[in-house]
Amino acid sequence: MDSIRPNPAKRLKEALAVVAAGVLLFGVLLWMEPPLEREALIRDAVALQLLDGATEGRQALVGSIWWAPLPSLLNVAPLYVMQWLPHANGSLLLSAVCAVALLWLMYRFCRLRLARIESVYLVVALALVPGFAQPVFYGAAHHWNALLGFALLTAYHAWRREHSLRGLVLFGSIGGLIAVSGVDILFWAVIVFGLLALHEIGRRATGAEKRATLLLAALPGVYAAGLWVLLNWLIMGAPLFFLRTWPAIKPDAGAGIVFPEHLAPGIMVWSIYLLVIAFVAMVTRRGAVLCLVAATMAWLLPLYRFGNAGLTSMELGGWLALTIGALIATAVLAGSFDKRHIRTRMLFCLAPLALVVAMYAPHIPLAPPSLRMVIDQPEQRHAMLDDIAAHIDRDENRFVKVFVAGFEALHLLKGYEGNTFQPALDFDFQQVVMDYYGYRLYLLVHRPEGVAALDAIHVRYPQIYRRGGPLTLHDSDWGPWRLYEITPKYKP
Amino acid sequence: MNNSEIPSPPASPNPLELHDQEPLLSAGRVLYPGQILAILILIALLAWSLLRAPLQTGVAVVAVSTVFYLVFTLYKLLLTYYSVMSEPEIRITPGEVAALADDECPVYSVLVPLYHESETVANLVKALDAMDYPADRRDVQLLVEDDDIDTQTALQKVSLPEGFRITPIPPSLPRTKPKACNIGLAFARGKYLVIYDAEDRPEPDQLKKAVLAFTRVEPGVICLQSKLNYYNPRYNWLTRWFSAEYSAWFDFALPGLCGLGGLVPLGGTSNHFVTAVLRDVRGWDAYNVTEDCDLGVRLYRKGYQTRMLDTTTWEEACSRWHFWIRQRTRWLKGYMQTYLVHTRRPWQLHRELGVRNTVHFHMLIGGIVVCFLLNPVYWILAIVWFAFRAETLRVLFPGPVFFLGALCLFVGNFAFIYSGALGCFRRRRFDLVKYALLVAPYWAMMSYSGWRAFFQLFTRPFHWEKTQHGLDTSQSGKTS
Repeated sequence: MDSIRPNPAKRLKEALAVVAAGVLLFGVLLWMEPPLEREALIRDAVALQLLDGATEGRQALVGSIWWAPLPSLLNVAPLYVMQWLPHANGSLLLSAVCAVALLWLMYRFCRLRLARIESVYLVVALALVPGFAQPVFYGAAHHWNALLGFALLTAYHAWRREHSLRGLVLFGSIGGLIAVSGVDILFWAVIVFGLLALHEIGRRATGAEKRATLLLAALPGVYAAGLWVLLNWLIMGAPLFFLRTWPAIKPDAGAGIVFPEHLAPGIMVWSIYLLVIAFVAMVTRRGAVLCLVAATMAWLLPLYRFGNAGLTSMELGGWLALTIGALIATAVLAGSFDKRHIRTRMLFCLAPLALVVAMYAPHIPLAPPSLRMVIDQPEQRHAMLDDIAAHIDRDENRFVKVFVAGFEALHLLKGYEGNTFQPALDFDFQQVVMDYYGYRLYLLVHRPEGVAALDAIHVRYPQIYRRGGPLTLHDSDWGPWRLYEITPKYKP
Repeated sequence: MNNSEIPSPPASPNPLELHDQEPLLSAGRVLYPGQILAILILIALLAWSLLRAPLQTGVAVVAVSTVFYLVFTLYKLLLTYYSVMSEPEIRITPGEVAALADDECPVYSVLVPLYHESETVANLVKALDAMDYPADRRDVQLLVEDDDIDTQTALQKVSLPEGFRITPIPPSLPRTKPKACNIGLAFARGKYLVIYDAEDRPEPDQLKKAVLAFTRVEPGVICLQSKLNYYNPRYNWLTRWFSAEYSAWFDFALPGLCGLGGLVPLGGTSNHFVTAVLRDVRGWDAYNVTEDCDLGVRLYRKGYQTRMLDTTTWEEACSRWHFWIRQRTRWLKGYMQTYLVHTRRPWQLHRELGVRNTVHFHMLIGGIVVCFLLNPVYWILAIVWFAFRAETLRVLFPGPVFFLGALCLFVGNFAFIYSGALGCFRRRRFDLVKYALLVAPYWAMMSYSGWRAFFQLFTRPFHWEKTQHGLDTSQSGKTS
């Protein structure tokens, strides 16, 4: 088994090798041209807007709690480099690299405690989990989030075990990244930070040391969140603008806790498994494992909430976090038995693999059925926009402007030339009418489904898609898009 | 180890030997004609470019500075990473120290330059006498200027223990610490040699640790740098920030540098040398006001190396703003001198140091100075931007430059602050962590000192702005 103290140069080389393997996987995926998750396409569109220096890009980067800045920002550099590549997608690259990194990190974590073959069993279990393997093809961001979540948990565990500065720095730095990476993973970070705080309270150390530890652990996260607020003030004009869409998440479930149908069987299997682990940990007095199980089980809350709100992408992230948490708890528990208990260790390492294989048998659909995936066809998008432009251009004496609301607009308008269409992330009827007096104005709204339902326009005008807004007349429907004409009652 | 290796002192020491024998490696002359020509060409090019295309020139200058900031930030982060991930210092356990028999200890020379230190000498002698080293194997030289009557009077009141002697320094120019050290080096009898300042409180087992460490290191390592920190960090805000900075430098950056195998710019005191090799490289440059930093670079150029030793010497942090500014001005002026000295023959420097250490040299010696000089310009730009939303500034920051600039502003600055706080944590000064987070005014003082040093480099290049010691006497006998 490896020594605990890592060689930094070796680690850097390993990290480079992981990135190289991820890029290779990305090349294979690109060749396969898989359909991508819509969110992945939108993140790429945001990155392209940023590269163009467009105001909408900056607004999209910071303007919504549901579209955290970091996953989009990470796409900027790869897209800049891959401009020459047809169908290049930064999200797909990020997803591929993070997937490889997750497997590598899982292996490294296990090898600190387990023999090589035992570690391999757990890594294979992770690789086979449908929630892990399938989304790599979608370009989903939750591999990034899962990677951060995993790293945070390992950092917490390292701190708990060694109280080394390395663990604390890792914890703080990852916390900083998580604060700007997504709501779902932020929930996880809060739980793990809570565990760290509890550990500190119970630790034999001076008050100053405990305060300093908590300060250093929390500071990067608090700073990153503060930065998000500052950028909102600078770009959106209101420091807490990005939080305005927060109340929009509304689980549809009725009384009691009911998970979506496609999630329930898998959750039941993992929950029972985690309870068994917790029971063994309790009997054998392994507090660290109990903490890990508690943190993992806490994921059921966001899974329930996001799943019932139809946020399928986040639901996948939660599912992956649940799996990883279970595997980490297993590795720590198995590693806590010494080498005389070789059978016990092996049993624990094989159990998750057996569970994952068993999940395939009844065809539990771990990818949510409502996950929206598309193969991006710019010609089709542009043809639809041309059709809309032709449809509204009946009176050539007037200027025409079509506002396309929400984050979907950034993808829809990607690569489209002309000034008729304009993305609008913070749409306000009165403002638009005053700003564009004399224009014939239209509004294109996407159906409120998935994360699109959390766009600012649906929060500000909840009935906009079904009944229209205060100054609108329904014009026509274009696939999931609905076109309204804006009637200018207000004069500047 | 045996005492037959003790070198014999020369008949008439020349404290300016380096300057006389290898003038290109001495700061005795600030700029050589080639350097003056290069600077003039650069200024002319900039002026011509500003006249022809002012906007494009402005954008280019901003872009170059921004890229420099980014590279410098990444470099400092790399040092921090190496320091956090591994602990490359040489560690000697108390058990190993205890096992070192007295007859295994070679004669150890200790040089203590004193100038107007009448208030500290009594404590100094007490602290050095308390060190765990056989009295008959120590060779402590108190280097006292001939015309420093105060210190001489104070020393007369102290009875010097066995192994202590006073070495008089004849008055001559330049009046610098390295000149005194060179005379002390000439008269040193030890196999190994270390420098301490008047207010230093080295850990008692430091000499024994150094002896053991020298037996462990690979051939070519002829210098060990101990960690420095302060015994009065809680005196006021300035000492708190100063302690945080020292912790980040000696507990983070320098060990990280050692981990990377890079050259170490020596800290002011507690550098342990192999005496014979130090004489071979002609000791310190008497004209350089950070002779330690210069010597650190010169050792690498001559093919030798330095390692960090995990032992601490406690010093007194300067607790008065104006004295602190003077001290920092001297340090930064010395860094500028060192940079100019070693870039007189850039290709030779590159050949002697290799690619990696040349990068370390430019980043550590040149980069730090440039950062302090550039910072105020960027702070003013940022304030103007935030306070007045000055859109005209946007033309200076086209897309990619703006992103890199924002990255340096928001992430880079935070990384520097955070690493300062981590330094306090590693040093187990937990109560200082929160002060390290409010370090911005301290940076402003550093930049002020940087510009002061820049002007002084051309007006009073060898002027030694002496640090006033003994301002905080309340804790001088204690260590944290």
